[in-house]
Amino acid sequence: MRERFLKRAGFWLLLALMMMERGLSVGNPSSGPGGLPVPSSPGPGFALSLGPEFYGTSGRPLKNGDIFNFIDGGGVVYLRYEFNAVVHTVFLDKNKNSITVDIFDMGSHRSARNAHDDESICPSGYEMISIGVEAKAYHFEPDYFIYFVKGKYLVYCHVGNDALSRLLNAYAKTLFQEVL
Amino acid sequence: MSRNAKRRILWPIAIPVILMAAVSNGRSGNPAAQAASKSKVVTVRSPKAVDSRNRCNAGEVKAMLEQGLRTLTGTASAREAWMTLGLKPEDVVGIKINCNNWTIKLSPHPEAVAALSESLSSVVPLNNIVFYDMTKSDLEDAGFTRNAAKNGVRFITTDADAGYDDQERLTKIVTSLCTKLINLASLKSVAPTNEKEPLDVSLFFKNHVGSLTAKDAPKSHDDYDFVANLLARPSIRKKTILNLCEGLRGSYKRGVPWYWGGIVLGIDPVASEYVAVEIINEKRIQEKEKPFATPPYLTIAEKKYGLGTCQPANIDWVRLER
Repeated sequence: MRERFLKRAGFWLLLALMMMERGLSVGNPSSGPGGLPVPSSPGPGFALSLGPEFYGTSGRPLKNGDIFNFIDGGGVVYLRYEFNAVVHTVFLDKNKNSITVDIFDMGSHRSARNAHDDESICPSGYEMISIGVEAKAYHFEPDYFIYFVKGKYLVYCHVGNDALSRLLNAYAKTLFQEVL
Repeated sequence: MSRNAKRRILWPIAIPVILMAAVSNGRSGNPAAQAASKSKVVTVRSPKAVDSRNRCNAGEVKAMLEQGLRTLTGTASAREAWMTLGLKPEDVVGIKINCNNWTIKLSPHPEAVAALSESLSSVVPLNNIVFYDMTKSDLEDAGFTRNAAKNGVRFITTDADAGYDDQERLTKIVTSLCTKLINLASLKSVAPTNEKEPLDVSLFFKNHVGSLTAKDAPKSHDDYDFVANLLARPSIRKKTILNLCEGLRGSYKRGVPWYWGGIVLGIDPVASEYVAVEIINEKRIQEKEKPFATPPYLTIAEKKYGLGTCQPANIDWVRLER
């Protein structure tokens, strides 16, 4: 009896640890291939303009191809880590302001963190901000973008008009808290 | 006649012949002759071309393009310049643009595209001007609207409009549709911090990765010879009349932009790429970053495929500042 209990407890403990390591997300409004989370709209006035597009690895491409179809040769830096897939989404408002969200499944939390620390993925020149987690924020006029990590995901949010940087900060916070 | 007597007669003839040959080869001290034997690359830069919010001055960019074309070809007008480059009224000219905008927008400004279209239309009808890239989503992401209609400048993509030539493994836009090509690159650095990675820049050579089949494109990521051979493919080599880099906004390291405010024009793709790398390096030095080495595929392109030169001594870099 005790042995069976220990076996079961061990199984559930192992499963929980695996989930933590793989960064399984909670509360996704929707998900794509491989359980990739699909972000919701940044808010009123923004509608889906492109995507969600799904890209995998060269050996395991998804609906829209592989990482190289997505970011050309630059994709090679993601393959240094445990990159699995990315979902790419663009939202547009009536003034043609675009907000892009790319959610990279980096295989594990450690891998996502390592990618976040890699200057060839998240370059220098950032400011650390808090969106519920420490995030890297970049302001290259007129662009503003943010990188953060949650679980096994490396998340990139971008707005082409830096006048909307506060909106992007709030959206990144929502993504961190609710979407993933 | 003795041998000495023959020498006395021949030397006065031989010396001028030898001197003339030296001059015609550009090996003399004559700077004009030396420049003529070099690959000319023209850069035109203007502080008025783009502002710090990436807003482009259409009139200034048009003037820069026209000035660059005239200087490159030694002609008096853009129309003459295009004709000198080999463009004919019946040509369909394909312009490969780089619409990959990850993470910051570095694809050509619509104003620059409009200036190029207007200039080309001095020779060919508007509908014979075809801007293209690999995918419709990239094209639209870069701010262009697809137009495959029979009027106006065309903006098309391989996935939506053309497909691939199975033999040449290139987009049919290059192999079948177009009779002339312009390689319109962005001033883009993709430098990973790992120095072993070969991917420092994405300029004229990498731009045509977007003309390859999706299956072949990844080969360009770690194979120098493959990259060098890209522009040596018969359809690309034979049809390309101009290499033009729109560097109003470029990146000097991956994901970090700056406003260079200029364009690069050249007929020799190797020399043009060399100059574009030097422009990025000037900024890198200014920012205390280690300059990029000459990309190894340029040496292969020069030595193995005879596409041009990456030897600074053989490049006539004409810098125009407005």
